[in-house]
Amino acid sequence: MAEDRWGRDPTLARAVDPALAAAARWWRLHVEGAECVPREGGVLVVANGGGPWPWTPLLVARALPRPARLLAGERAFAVPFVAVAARRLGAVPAHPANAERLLGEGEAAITFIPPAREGPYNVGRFDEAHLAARAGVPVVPCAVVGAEETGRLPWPVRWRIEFGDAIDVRPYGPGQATDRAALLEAAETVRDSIQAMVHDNLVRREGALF
Amino acid sequence: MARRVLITGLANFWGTRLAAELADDPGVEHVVGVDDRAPAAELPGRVTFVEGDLRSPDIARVVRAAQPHVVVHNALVQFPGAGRSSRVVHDLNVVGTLQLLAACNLPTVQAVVVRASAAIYGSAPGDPSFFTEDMAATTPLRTRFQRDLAELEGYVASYARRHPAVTCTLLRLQPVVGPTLETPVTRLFRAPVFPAVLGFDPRLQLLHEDDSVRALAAAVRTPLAGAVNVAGPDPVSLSRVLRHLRRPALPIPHPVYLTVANPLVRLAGVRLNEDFPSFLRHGRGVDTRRLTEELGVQPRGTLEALR
Repeated sequence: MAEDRWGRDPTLARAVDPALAAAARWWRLHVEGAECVPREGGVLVVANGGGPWPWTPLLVARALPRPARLLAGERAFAVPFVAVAARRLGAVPAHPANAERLLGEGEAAITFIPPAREGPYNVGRFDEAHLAARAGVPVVPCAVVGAEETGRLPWPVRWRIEFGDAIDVRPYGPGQATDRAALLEAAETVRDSIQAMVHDNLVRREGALF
Repeated sequence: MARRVLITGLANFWGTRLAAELADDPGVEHVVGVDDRAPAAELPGRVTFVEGDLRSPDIARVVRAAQPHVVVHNALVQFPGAGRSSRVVHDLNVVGTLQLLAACNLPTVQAVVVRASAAIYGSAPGDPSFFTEDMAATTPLRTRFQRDLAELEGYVASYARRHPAVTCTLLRLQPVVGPTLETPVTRLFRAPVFPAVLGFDPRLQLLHEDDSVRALAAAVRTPLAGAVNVAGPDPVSLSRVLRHLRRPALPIPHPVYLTVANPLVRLAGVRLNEDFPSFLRHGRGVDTRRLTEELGVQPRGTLEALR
């Protein structure tokens, strides 16, 4: 019943968990590398977005071994009822100030890279590396496979979520958090690692449906 | 050293309460209150009431005669009401501040304390969950009251630049509630049903009336340069507030909110401004570290404020 100061209501997360568990079974979800996520301290989980809202964020949050907040776009908070559900499930507006505060308070935050325009499973540009660098927290790359084929109807495709080894972006900050070249390099490292994991998981999935 | 204090807006809730509080303070020699309406309550001995309109240049004579050390600008009007159209509200807030600050060009003045509002941050879906004081500069100004506040704060900032010896404090108050305060917000919380916006449950961070007076008094005693957010420690969602008050909500779809809610609340003598529907959709949270650590005020929480 009690919400925290960010507006998350743990009872709602518990209430929707059976539905998410059913969705995970329906999509034969396979989760790997959850041990890569540090159990304590601030961490920024970066995953490739895409596919229908809201399954990817909810399933990634459920796959994490610790409670996490979703950095959600402004549109999620502008739609009636969706706004309330998003906030109670632990989403916060993806404002840089929110990300910095969450990471500084030692929380886990999940953010999504929008897909690039050229075809499915092309991870777009990651431009939030400075947040992790400034807060001095590691970045955990995460690949999500299955969301793109799911489409508008929930076809029973195979889903995979894999967390990679934490990437330390601290060498790039906090003193260097304003150094653009260093930040671009850090962001590119994160993006490359997610892209490689996505391709790897597409191969290891051995077919979307059968 | 005993100091003389000048308070504008003496007749309103904060003016009367702050004057009474400062009259008991041995560090205050005398309090002069200015307002265009006479205060309802009887004033303590060390408080003098001077009738004057902030919008007229006569205010300079009042300030010169008072020779204040601290000027508390407390004449901010948030809601239009009887005899105060939104046009007059704009004039009172903007022109009044301009005239007052022009009159404060005196060697005695050491500090200026302004009661401003956290409404300057606005309420939007993508807003930070906790506004810090530096974010007012980057928030887009969407409503008339927001623009008035920004103009007011701009005048205070340029006054502070031109008078480096004067400490200027801007107190940005979140909505104030309490048993004796009469504002549209407190009346809505006392109404039998609360007109909410359908499908939204904003995070509110309210302030108890006693804490708002304590914050003003603390700013008079220890002036602090710059803006300070004034609110209870943590935001609480509206649904939880209404559960706490055992008050039903009347959900109104957002596009027709003012059309439906204004005739209803007019029965209670309330008119809502254009900031209100978006405030009831997205709410507003502020960071209060400056208030608790630098000003030393520990306000009670939102739910305790509504008890």
